[in-house]
Amino acid sequence: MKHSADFPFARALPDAPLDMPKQLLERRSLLDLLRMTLSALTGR
Amino acid sequence: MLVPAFFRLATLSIAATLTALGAHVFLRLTGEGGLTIVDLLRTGLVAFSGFWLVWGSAAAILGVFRPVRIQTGEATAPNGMTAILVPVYNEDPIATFSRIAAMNRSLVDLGISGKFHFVILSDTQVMETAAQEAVWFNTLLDEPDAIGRIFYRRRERNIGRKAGNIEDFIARSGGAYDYALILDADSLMEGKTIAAMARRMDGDDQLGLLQTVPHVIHARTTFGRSLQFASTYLSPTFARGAALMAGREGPYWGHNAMVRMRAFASCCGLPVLSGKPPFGGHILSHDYVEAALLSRGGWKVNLDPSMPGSYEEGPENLIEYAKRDRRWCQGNLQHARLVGAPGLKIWSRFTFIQGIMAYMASPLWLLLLIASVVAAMYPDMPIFMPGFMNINFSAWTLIVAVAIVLLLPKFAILTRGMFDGHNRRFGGTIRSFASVLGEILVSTLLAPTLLLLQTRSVLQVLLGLDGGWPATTRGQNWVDLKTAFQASWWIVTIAVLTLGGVLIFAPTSAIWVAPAMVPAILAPFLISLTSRPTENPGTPLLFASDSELAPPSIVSTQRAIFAAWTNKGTTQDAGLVSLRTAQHVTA
Repeated sequence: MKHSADFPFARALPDAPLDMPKQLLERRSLLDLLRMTLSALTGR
Repeated sequence: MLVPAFFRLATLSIAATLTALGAHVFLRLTGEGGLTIVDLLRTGLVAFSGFWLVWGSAAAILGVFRPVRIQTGEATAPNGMTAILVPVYNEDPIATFSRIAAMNRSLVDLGISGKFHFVILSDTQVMETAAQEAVWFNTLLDEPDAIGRIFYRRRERNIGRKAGNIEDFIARSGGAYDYALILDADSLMEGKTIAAMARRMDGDDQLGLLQTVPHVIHARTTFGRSLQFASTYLSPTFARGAALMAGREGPYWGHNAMVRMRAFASCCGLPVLSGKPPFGGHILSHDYVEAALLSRGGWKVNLDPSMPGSYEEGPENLIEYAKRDRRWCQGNLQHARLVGAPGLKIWSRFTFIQGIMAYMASPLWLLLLIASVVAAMYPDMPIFMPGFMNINFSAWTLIVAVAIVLLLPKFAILTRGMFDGHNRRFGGTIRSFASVLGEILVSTLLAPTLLLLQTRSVLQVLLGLDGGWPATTRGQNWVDLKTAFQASWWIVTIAVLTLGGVLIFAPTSAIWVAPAMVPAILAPFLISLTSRPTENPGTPLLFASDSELAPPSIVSTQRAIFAAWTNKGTTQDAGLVSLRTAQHVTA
């Protein structure tokens, strides 16, 4: 009896990935926004 | 958009006016000769909590006057492909898979099964149950057209619970489908309803989510059947009112709803909230949040109470109900973190507040009771403001007004049912009238117990205690007196102490406190009594529902499959699974 993630039935599912981006639900602080802007500018 | 805005404004105005009137009457009654600080506090509580009662009733009255158009149309095949998702978590596989078999047969009979795949998304963590799932999945594959259309996969770790389970499927296979019908393990839907939903999606490319109003079926106990009657006889009207106000920003209840895969994937990836549970971590009541996110993304979220053929099962006793309510309480209070989320529609924010208030109302009503007892115990408190003189009405005026607000929607539904055939489906007007009275009696007797249970849940969440997300125990019926007492001894203690204290220190208030405390003292008896399954093999006179009097075909089919599989027993060999697997793997 297999119970692991590679349980054979799972392989029958269509291989058609769909991206599900994480949504923004919490308001960012000014510090967070500054940090994000700086990392975007520096490419990091 | 103008129509919902009109109904929102009208309902809000009515609720606010009636609340202000009620609060004024209460203020006059309590402030005869002078207002104390406790009187002002009590009036504030009456106004704040009362508003939500009036709001609910006003929404239901709105539903009474909305025309009903029940139709699913021709059962033709939709254009889009639909994945029917059945997330399971430690559920009885025979019951769950028999529902899938019945829905599959319904679609096959209509000749449209090619447009629908079933995917069982198991998050089961109990190994014995997981093994049984694999065994019974093998039986499910014997159903017509099952090979290559019915799939099963299990996650070893149930990250993100149900929302994470569905997200995992979309990330892996979502691109193969246009729509997803999201079900619960206890969901059951007619094939023609499923097809009609998919066709609605085909015909309106702005429609992101279509929510049906599931009717409770298979209830056997007094508690369960009372709930079942309420869900089938009363709820559709409440939902019609809610749908009128919500417009394209309707609710999502997490199951028996169809989503547009592309819209859901692009809008509903839920983040993990900062901080620890109960307010941080994974979002527990994900459905309301997903509805809000779809609305934020510009998609229509429609609630359609006129869509028939959508069913679920409900808790059979108060203890199971309270366990579910504890989860919902934590989930709804967690939404306090999201009321201010960026970009949400005002109605979505209001829906969050409504959900929070559904639980906060209980401690507030309790606080009102306590404040009233304190006011009676200390009648000589210092006067804070000048009061009113010559009050020429009694407290009964207010009591009668509250009773009208609470009961009017139910009797309005009954009256309407006399003319539109609704009562006929429930055994006639006299039988429906008796059932409405019975439902009022059961819900009134259990209300004080529920109030204390909800207050405890709210306090637990506010104190930071995470209740987790325990699996639903289905099919649990009778609760013996000992178990009922173990679950409710603290309710009995609080009620005895409160009523005893009032009788000693403020005997004049006993008449107001007793109606709340006597049923709470009787909580163990009420819990046990209402959990007794009905012994009559036919449909009992009280709480008869349309699905009992004329079982829908899908319900009869599922019962027959369940009975056949149960008789077959669990003697199947788990080894068969690997033999069958190789033959039907399609990808």
